[in-house]
Amino acid sequence: MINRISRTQYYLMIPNLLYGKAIGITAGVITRIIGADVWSCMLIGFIIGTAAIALMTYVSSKFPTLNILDYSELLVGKWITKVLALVLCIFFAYAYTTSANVITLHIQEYFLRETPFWLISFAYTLLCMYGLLLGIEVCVRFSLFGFLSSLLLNFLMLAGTFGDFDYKRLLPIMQTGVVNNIINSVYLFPDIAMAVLPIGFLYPLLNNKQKSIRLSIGAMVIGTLLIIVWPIFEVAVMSPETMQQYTVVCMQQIRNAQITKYMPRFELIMVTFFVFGVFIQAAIMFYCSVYSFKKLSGIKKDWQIIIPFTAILSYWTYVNGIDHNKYIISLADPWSQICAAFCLGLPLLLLMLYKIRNCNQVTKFTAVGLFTLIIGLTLTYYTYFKDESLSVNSNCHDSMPQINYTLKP
Amino acid sequence: MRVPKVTAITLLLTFLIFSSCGCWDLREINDIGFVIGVGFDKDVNSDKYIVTAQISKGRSGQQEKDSESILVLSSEGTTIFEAIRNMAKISSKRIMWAHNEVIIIGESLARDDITGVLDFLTHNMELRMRAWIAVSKGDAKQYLVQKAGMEGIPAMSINNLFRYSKINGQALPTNLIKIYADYLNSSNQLLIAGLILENNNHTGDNKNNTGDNTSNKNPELQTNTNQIQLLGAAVFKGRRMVGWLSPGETNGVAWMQNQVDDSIVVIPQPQTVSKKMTVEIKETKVDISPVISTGYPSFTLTVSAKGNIVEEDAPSDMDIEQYKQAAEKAAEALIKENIELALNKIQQEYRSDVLGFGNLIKIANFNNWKDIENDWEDIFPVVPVEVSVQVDILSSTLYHQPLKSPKKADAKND
Repeated sequence: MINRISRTQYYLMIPNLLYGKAIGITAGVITRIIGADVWSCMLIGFIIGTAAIALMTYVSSKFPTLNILDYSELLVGKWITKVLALVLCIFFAYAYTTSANVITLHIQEYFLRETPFWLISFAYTLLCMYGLLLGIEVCVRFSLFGFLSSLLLNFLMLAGTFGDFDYKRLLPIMQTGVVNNIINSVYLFPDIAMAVLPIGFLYPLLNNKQKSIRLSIGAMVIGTLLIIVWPIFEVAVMSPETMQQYTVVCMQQIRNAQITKYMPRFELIMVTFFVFGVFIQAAIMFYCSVYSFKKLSGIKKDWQIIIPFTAILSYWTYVNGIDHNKYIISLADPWSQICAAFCLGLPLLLLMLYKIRNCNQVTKFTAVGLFTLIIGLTLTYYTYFKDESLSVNSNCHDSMPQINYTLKP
Repeated sequence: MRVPKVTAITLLLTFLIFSSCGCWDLREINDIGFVIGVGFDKDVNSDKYIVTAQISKGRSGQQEKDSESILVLSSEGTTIFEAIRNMAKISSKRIMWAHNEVIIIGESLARDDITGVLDFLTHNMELRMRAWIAVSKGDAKQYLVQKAGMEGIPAMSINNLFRYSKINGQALPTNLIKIYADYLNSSNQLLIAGLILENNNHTGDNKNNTGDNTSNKNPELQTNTNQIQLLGAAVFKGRRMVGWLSPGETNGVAWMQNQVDDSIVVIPQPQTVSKKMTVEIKETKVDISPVISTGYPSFTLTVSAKGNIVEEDAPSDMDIEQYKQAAEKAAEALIKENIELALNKIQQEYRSDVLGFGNLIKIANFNNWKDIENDWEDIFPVVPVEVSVQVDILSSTLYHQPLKSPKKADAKND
């Protein structure tokens, strides 16, 4: 079995990890919070995400033949690594369900309304299981095809909606303020985390690790460009108020696409292109969860974990997604905050541990404990005590200049 | 690894095979009736919705050659969804909405509350938001049973009326995307195209009145038939219709929304004002800018258009440049008059921001908009709008000079 991935596959894998959920579900989540600033907010999120992926790649490059759990064991010891493995196993398992439900929602809400939801969840998980049994390299090798499909999908969307583009709906830019845009970029982190954290598992598979940070940054930039056209066009074509109404915003966008009067409905073609990228995202989440459990349990054979996980994850996907509204709400709170904590906190923690690797155990434990405390407090504060006035639906605003006017009789 | 892999693959394939046969959502195409046009009315007595669907029968085979191409079904219910489900009592096929092109809302329903209709149309995964939407004078049902146009399916004719509405300039091409966005917007009010049914003498319809192109068979036959026209617009305030815009006022709105490419302007002929001439508009630019000052906001509306003279109903001995200049002035005056008519009606009578002026203030000065947003309904009617129009007539189409009369008799009579 080949256990290496090429630089091209690695480079194209990252946009695939970002694309699926970001264009459809995340855009709607952020629009409900920030309105027409969704695209600028997502852009800021991607910039922060680029820094995060560079950091993760840098840390991984210090241990080129080891994955995140292996070098964590070197840095913090066996038992803390087991805790980390358990946490990551659960994290990636939930991330898998959020990714799988992107497809299940697309299919259930727009195409197969009568088909039982459990069947769609199970069939999709079975497909990911099959991919993993063949090997994660097989899934990653699919990246070129997924990337080209995403490009084609973008082209079809642009061609079909360009005539309805109204730039005025995008104005004024950053109407809720720069600070508000930065703070609310946290809602993009479920997607960023799905690109950043798997680097820790997949980096050792890269056959040529030269200039890997530049490679990761380039991949994030390409992914950003591929994705950012969607919220821009969704706002300009449909309006932010219309976007706020729908759970799967991208489907509403492409349902209205029309290329001349001879191609009025082609969303099924577009969904066919969409599936490939989302499959890579789901398969890699599945793999990361399985691998974390493998490290935790010590089980040597992958299939002994993959098959039970298939049953667990298909049920969890069903439970997570059966109520579509609860699924969308959970993506905003608290999943976004958890992902932000992991996506930014874990690479920083590992970097810090790398820097203090020669210190004694007490120092390391103290550093880990302090770090975890800070992350936990930040999460708790942000989840339960955040300033509601930053929401687009809030009635309170910063002080604004008053204009005096008198109405004509 | 080999044995479990084979087992897993076998299980996977077995499952996929069993789950694929008898798909839950399978519908054979000959079991589906495609709705091409739909109308919504409300029975004011029973407060029930009446849904009328024009369904394509999809002809096949010689034996169906002479049959109608459409079937119109109507049913009622306390909600629109119930009314549509009630249609199953009379429809022999499962109705599918994916190819619906035209949505007609009856005037009585529009004046009552449009929310139920908009919600149904956007809540449904089959309906597309690209469908054209119009408010009909009278009930919507009569428009769907009426023969229309040259297409086999009348709703397709109405679809084409929308597609070509710009060349007339007296109707607006409103689709569900725009209407729904305006409905959800905090300041924009709805302005929906109008459909009217008017009696129109015409010659040469065949005896079956099927609308087939057989008018030359019986040219002496003259029948009075109603014609569906896309004309005017319905003004809404909130969820309810408050009135109509006349064709001239709708033309003013079309100018403000820059929906007049390829339309015409009919103006008095410079030398013989009792006669007319026609200018075809080719390129238009419209700029509406809010002016926010310490007083209340105002707007400047600048229209610039290019056109060509396409018809002169009287001869003229003017020089072509003088002729064009006179025509330009007359066109500018007429366009300005139509725009001001529309503004006056919308601001003074209906007091409804269908033009999106509030949105323009929001774009220009977001902070100030937040201050006046709650009072915008009171401010909009009194907002001054300064209109300036510039028309450049580029040519007289094929002519180098205005049509001159060479006959002395004509010169004596003029």
